Amino acid sequence: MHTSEHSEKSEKFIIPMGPQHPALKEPGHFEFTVAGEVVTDASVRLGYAHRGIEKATETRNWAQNLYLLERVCGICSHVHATAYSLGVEQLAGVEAPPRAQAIRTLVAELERIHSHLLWLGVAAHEAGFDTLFMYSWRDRETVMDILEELTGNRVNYSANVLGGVKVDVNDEHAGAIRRGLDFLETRTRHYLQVVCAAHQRHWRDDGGTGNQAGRYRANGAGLRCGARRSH
Amino acid sequence: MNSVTELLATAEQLLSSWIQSQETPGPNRLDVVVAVYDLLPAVQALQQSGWGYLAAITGLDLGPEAGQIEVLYHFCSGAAVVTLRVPIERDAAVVPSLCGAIPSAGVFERELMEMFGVTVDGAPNTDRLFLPDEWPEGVYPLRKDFEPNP
Repeated sequence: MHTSEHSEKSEKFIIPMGPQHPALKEPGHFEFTVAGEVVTDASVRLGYAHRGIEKATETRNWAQNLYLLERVCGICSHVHATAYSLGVEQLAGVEAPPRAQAIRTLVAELERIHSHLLWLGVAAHEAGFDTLFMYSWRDRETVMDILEELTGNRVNYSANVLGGVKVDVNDEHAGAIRRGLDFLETRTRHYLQVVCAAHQRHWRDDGGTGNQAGRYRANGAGLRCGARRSH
Repeated sequence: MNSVTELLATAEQLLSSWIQSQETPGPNRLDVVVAVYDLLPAVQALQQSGWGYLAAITGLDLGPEAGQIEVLYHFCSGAAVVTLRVPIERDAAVVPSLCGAIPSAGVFERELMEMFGVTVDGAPNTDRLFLPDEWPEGVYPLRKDFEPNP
């Protein structure tokens, strides 16, 4: 004998996912409560790859932390080291020279471009559009090559030092950057065309969740917000 | 006045009844100290006028000698950043949950609870977010007196 409340509760269907799952880019554990096709609740546990970087900085010196913080993310490495450098420089009351600031910005913009090309590819892959994924990741190599030429490194470029940068841009670099960016501009305009044309058929985006997404501060989903847009 | 200055001026006006002291750490920032019992009305004032969004909650342990923890609620609107700085007792660290007004505060609050040992009163979910199941109760890794390798 079940009360109606009890039987309703016992019909709850929970789908666990992770910590290891082929669809996840990083480990995470999720539990989705579903009623048929509708997800009615979800919970999350993270931290399976948590490295305790904040705590680790407490026992290291200013210079060591620069290298540690560049490794917060394996895609956007420069921005973390730059934010840290700016913070330390503010504490010390010093400012990087103008040319160093310009080079920091240049590297940051190159990083932004390869980061966007990476996520364009991931988004395409998740939508089942693997051709676009392969093209955008192939083109991303252009930026990685430029960064390697400029700094000697493709991922953790290590361009910053406290108070400045450790690389300079010569005419050869400038030429390579201009040629690379011309190529990427053409490619990106092409992808924009491809994505817009394929939107109806390929992209699983019903566009109907904007309000809810806004309440939970999600980006994308047709929302006119996002850090880059805001800043 | 540029738009950032205007945004900061609006926020300052919205929060004026609860500001105990204030600083401007950068040209695009406003850092205000708010008492813990004034936190919810201050947040609601920002929310109701649609001023920005909650970008992060930071815990700051000032150490056993100072006996205080500060909880920083960062709100962003465009390039303007307003921080509500809420000082609380380290030995009786309690703040109210923002989840009623801002559901996305939940993940930040879970991290604050497990890392700093701050009780978030009224939080809908008090499960651990990052720490593993076998992590000992009552040990808070981002408190200054926690030794990672004793």
